[in-house]
Amino acid sequence: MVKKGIKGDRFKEFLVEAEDILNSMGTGLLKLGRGVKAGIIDPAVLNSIFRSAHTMKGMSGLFNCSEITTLSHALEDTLDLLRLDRINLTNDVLDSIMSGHELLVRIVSNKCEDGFTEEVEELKVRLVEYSRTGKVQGKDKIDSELLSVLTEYEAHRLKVNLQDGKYIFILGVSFPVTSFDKGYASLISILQDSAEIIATLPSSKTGREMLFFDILIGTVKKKKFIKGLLKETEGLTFKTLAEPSERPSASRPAEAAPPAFTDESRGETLRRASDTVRVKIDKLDNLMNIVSELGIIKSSIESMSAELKNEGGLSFYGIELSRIGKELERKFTELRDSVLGVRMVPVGQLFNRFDTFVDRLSRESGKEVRIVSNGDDTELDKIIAEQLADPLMHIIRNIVDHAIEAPRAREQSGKRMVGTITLSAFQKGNHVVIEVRDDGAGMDEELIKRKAVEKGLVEKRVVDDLSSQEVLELIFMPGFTTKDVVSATSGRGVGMDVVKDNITKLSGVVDIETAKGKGTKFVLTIPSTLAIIQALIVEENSVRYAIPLNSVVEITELAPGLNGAGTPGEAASTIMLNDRKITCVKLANFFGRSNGSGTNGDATYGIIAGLADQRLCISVDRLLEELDVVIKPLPEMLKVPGIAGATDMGEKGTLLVLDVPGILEHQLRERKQPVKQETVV
Amino acid sequence: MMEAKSKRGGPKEARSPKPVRLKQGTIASAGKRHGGKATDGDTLRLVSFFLNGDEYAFEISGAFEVIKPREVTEVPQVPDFIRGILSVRGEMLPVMDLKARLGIAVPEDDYVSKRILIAGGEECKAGFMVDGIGAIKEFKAKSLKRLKRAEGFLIGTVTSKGDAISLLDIDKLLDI
Repeated sequence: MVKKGIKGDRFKEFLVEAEDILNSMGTGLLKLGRGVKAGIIDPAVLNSIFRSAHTMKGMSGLFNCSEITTLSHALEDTLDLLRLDRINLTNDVLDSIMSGHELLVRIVSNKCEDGFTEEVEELKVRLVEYSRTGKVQGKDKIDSELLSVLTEYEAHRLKVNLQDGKYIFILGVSFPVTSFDKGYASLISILQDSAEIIATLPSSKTGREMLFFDILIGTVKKKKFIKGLLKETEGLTFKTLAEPSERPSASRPAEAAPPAFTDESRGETLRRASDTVRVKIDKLDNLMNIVSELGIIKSSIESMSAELKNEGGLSFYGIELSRIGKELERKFTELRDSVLGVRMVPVGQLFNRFDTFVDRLSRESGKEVRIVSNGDDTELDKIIAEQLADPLMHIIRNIVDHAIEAPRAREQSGKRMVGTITLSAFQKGNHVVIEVRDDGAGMDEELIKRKAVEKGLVEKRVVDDLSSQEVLELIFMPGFTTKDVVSATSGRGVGMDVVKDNITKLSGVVDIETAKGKGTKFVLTIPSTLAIIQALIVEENSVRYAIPLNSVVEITELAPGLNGAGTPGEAASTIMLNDRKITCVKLANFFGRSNGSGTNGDATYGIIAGLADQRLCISVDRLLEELDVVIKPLPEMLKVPGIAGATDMGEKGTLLVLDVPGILEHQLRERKQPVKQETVV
Repeated sequence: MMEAKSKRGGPKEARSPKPVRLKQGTIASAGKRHGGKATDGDTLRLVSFFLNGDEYAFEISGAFEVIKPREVTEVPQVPDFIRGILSVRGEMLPVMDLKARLGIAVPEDDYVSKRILIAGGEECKAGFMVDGIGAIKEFKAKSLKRLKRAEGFLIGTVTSKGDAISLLDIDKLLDI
């Protein structure tokens, strides 16, 4: 059983931190891999991977995740040999290290539950093998017990310090468990100008609620000086390990850039110097709530200010209030944008996760695939980014399975043997567009049609009527697959429908473009933030609704006759707009509300909403205003199709926010029935 | 003696309950206002309210509050006894016409209750339309007369000063 360590929360933080470290380790490993292929090994990359393994070992030790500790230790040893140039970085070695990394990722995502011991042992054996090929260095006059505790690198640094004639001290320090990182960091910052921190070792001393460390330093300063620096530090013990004697200053081999490593090793053991703060999402949600309530209050002030103006003409206070109101508006917008901005993360964080994924798929499938990305800096809301992880994974897996051809086949058709998947992201208004492009075989419409009919998903005669786009969209139907045999990774017909579902939940759209023989492109268009949207407030049948503007393509006036065309009980009729037949919906009918004073003969408006190439017209009586609103979800028990949520507009009441894609989809399904009437606008 | 507690300035329509002698142990757990466990093994904590002159109650399982009726936004295609939703501090809560739900509605046009009692657990909170609020009361768990067979929304009755208070099951009420 894994003890959860100091506190449950700290363990969670550890997991998050571990993920981060493994992430950067993964990036490093990929760079290393590419370097190996090119015949170059970058020592900085190797060293950073080494440090990641080292940190993992240390951190996991604090939380008793023994499997991680064992594996990290083994990796660290191998990496150390590599960076000290003791063994060669062969493909085999690289492979083992990558497998080690992957295993670590799996253990961490399983929250350090047991069950990986066998795999860890297996890998450890492999890694230990490599170390046997190295040479053993002669020991020095240093206490061999100390040396055995130090990593080879640290021992290396210790020797260098000795050879340079420095003082070697061991400082015994202790910190309270809850604040040791701060305590340690401040201690280090005091020391850093006067000494090199060779190593920080957990001490064998224990205490209540305290952590004890022995810090090994090398310095030209004398004991008194160091003690003076640290006089504020409580409970400090001081031990002199070595003093400069009349040692011959010769025989000092030229050291390649030690200071660079020193800086980094300072922070490596317990804390990574970082200029970021981790914040829980619900704290941000709370902030958002407060900001939106502030917005409502601001609106009240604005309307009062407007009233004053109307009533009192040019009273002094009226004018002042108006001026202040404008300032308030400006500052509020700044605040709101900042708070929203806090939740934004660069999409590159998401994209990076697929590097190792594609690597593995590539190896498993026997095809050669690589993945590249651009637009990594494009930002979107953290929650949305998380929700996209699964859909993107499914799409990429599908691409490797179905789209990318075997290397031989590719060669024969004149393509590069390595298939490329390109992830792109860019902003488009208040949407983010993510494209997944491949240079594979493209999608075969005929095959899709055939398979859809075979699997009983559509009828033959319906299938023949479908447009190209609609045929392609058949792949999103649950149970659809072009594979006849189920493989480990696909063929079960589950996956693309999940993609569609997830994207729709985000109020997004998926489009597909394909060219047979050339490749396919999936285009995901999602609102960059869910929290605040621009909405159009409309009134229909005396009820007001909010329609998200991001779904609105245009607004048109409808002739009076149309209203009469919609008889109660019939949700929709059609209109012609720009030579297109568009279904028109009366909300009252759609929601089953009684059709009150709707038909008064006046002209009404048609809100034309669009998704991809689908269009829907929502007829409303009045257009009221356009403003930013915060959508809140409806309580679970009241989820109604066609309604995305509600928004509190303060004095103006609470309005329902329409789910345009939902209404559209509903109508499309209804479309199977013949439409009753047509009216030309 | 417990007074009626309204979070948002409702009238103190206190019907003083008969003083209940609490054991030492229960005083500690009765300490948390508007929160804490409903039934502490020995004690039942209830908030009571009135419908058509009769007294009913909910177990206090989480925080609850009372507000004056506000405009409720109708939601289409939900059962009749759900009047709509109300925005309370950034959360959208369903508003239930309790009389309609219990089947004791008095036919009147545009029934608007005097108070809305917001109660429930983390997952399912709702606002219940009530005629008036009674008080927070504590009873020994033993004094609850449970129904032999679960009947509708009633868990059982407790007697206070000769009057019976019907204890309703919120979870069942909110199970649509």
